[in-house]
Amino acid sequence: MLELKKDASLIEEIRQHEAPEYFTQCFRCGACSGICPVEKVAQDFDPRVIVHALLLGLKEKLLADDTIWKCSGCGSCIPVCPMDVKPMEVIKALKALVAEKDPEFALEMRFKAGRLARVNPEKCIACLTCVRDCPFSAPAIVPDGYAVIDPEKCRACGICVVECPARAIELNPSPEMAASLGGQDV
Amino acid sequence: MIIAERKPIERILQMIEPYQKIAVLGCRGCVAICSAGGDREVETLASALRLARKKQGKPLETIEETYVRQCDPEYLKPLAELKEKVEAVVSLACGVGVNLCADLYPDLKIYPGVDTTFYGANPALGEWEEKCRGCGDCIIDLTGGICPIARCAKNLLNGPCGGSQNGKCEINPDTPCVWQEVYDRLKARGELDRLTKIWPAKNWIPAGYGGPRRRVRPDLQINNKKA
Repeated sequence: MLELKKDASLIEEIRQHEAPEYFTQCFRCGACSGICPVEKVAQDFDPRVIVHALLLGLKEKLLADDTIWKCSGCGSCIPVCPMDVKPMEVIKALKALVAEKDPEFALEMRFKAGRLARVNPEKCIACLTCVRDCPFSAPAIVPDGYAVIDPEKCRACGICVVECPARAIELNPSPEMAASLGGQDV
Repeated sequence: MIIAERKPIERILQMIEPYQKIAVLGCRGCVAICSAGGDREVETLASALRLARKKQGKPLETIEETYVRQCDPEYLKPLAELKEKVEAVVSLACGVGVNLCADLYPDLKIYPGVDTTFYGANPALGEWEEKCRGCGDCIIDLTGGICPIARCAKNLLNGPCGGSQNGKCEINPDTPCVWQEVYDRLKARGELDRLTKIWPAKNWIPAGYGGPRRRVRPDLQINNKKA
């Protein structure tokens, strides 16, 4: 039988990471799941389940695995929630908590989930195409002579990936992109 | 950097007409930066060639490779192996790269995929402007940093021609008259007197009129370095 470790301190920790005010009022109606576009394509992603897991204190499950990183941050779940839970912001706070504890792991998870683009310095030719193309000013050429994408600014839109003449930028398909490309579950 | 432009696909198709299997070889130097011959253009050209040949009913197989540079023999070493796998290579490097590949591998059927056009700057995304012609005898200390050889349609060295009107060139109304620019720049810098001095006639031998140019730094040559 699966044993789940509960940790009630998680709720308090999340509150310190700009969690929305009323997230504990969730009564699992599923309006957020119903509207969530990622829930439709990623088998293990469901905002209702994430909020529920948080309220149960399933810290390890939430913070150590890649599920929360699949949220695209579209905000569809916010206006449909009758209790003003704001699941997207709950997930954002969970991500912030992970990033505070282990920034490298957080970036790796974002990259894995297709929510962050990354430059391969071995291939980058410092041509400035990404720097000039990015609508969010995320890439910059560092003194070592290659482009680095600022995770704070990157929105994983993929413009730099297709424009890079050296094919030096890597971006995994997001769950919704993978589904539209192959129709398969990710 | 060196600016190049991909040749028309019809022209490349003509070159590779006899072959069933070719390599499209890119370069991550200048031609990648000016979006003519890097990894992206290798992909694009290879798929365009395959598509065109399929349409002709003569399918083409392509291998796609991109080297760090094609103007250094060390980077071209993998070409020894690659050339055994294909009948011909279309190189998207500038003319320097294609020449060096051909010199190093005389039995290799190598074809240029780009036209090498000029030395230019990249003032904005997708725009390149000629700034220098590599004449080997730079005089822009006299002209406010603006090159009349590269930027005047007539390469004039003694002021504007009669076709300069309203600061524009008669060859193309979108092109600024470089001598107007030189005059304005020097005036702004308080150096107009530079234009009153008689320049000696320009020596064109360094521009390549004395045959192919070669530069040697004996102090850097490996045989001259003491162990």
